[in-house]
Amino acid sequence: MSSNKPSNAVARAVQRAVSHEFFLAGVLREYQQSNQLDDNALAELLGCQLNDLLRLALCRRPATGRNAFLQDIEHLAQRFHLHGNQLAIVIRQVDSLRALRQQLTSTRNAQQMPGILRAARDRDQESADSLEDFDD
Amino acid sequence: MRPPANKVNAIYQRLLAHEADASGDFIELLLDPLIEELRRRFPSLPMPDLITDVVIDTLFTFVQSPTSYKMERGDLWKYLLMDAKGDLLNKWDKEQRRRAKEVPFNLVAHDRSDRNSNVVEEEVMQRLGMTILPEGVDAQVAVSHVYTAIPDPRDRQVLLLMYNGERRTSAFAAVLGIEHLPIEIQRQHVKQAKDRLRLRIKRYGRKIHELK
Repeated sequence: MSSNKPSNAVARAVQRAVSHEFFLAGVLREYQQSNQLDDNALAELLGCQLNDLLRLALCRRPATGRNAFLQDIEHLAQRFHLHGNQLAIVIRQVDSLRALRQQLTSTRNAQQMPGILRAARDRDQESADSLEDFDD
Repeated sequence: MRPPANKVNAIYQRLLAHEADASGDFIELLLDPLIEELRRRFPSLPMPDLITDVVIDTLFTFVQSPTSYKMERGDLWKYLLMDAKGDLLNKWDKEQRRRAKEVPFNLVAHDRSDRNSNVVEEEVMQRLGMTILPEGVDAQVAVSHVYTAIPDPRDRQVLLLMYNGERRTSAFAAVLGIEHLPIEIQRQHVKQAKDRLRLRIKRYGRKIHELK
């Protein structure tokens, strides 16, 4: 089944939707970037029309609860004649990447903290040493 | 072209039912018609993408909280159009203020009371947001109205200073030619000039909308 091409304004809306958590656009973009896929490759992977990829990007991101998530995936799969399981994999992979990135960021911050404290202590010690020099 | 109300309402019901694909359908159905309508209403807007982005933002906000609209308040199309129009005017106002700060008006270059030139009037109109003219109002007609409303070139320069956000009495005193007066008197004169112009512009704003 072929679908008509969305307008330029819709394409622009998709670009702007990337930064909105509400839409699927951000998830799809992130998956494309991490797997180095262009629009054609992603459409092929999902089994949908290229034109429908833009429409899919403007859809609400499936809910996080297990049942609601599966229901939303099923709904989108039927609507765009795409592979629901593949869409679920795409979303889960991006979620995992995001969670991993967040974890790494907080770990890095935690590791930097003792370093900062150590630097502060060293500085205090230097000040104390220089004061001792004056005492001499 | 405005989409049929029953079609809009049908997708709106799907938004309320949290259907995952309803947001995309709603945006695709309304985005281009709303852009078209706003472009028709504001044909002189020099930034065409501004309308597109404002409509996109309006629709994004709406699909994320569709319950903000109450059916008893009236037609959904009109609701969205008014919402987008309000945002457009706010953004355009901000943009003009930003531009006015970036490109200071050159008083010396425009200090020629050249009756054949509309440069100063056009600048005044631009600063006043008069590039957004009511439907059917010709820009030249509007310029001539500015000329009628503010015939004194010095007044037009004072107005530009006001819209450029100028606050120094000395800047206004220079334009009004009252620098030789004591500062307190200068302040009084400047305040009077500003109040008088504000009143005229208020009346002028009404006139321009009566031209429709």
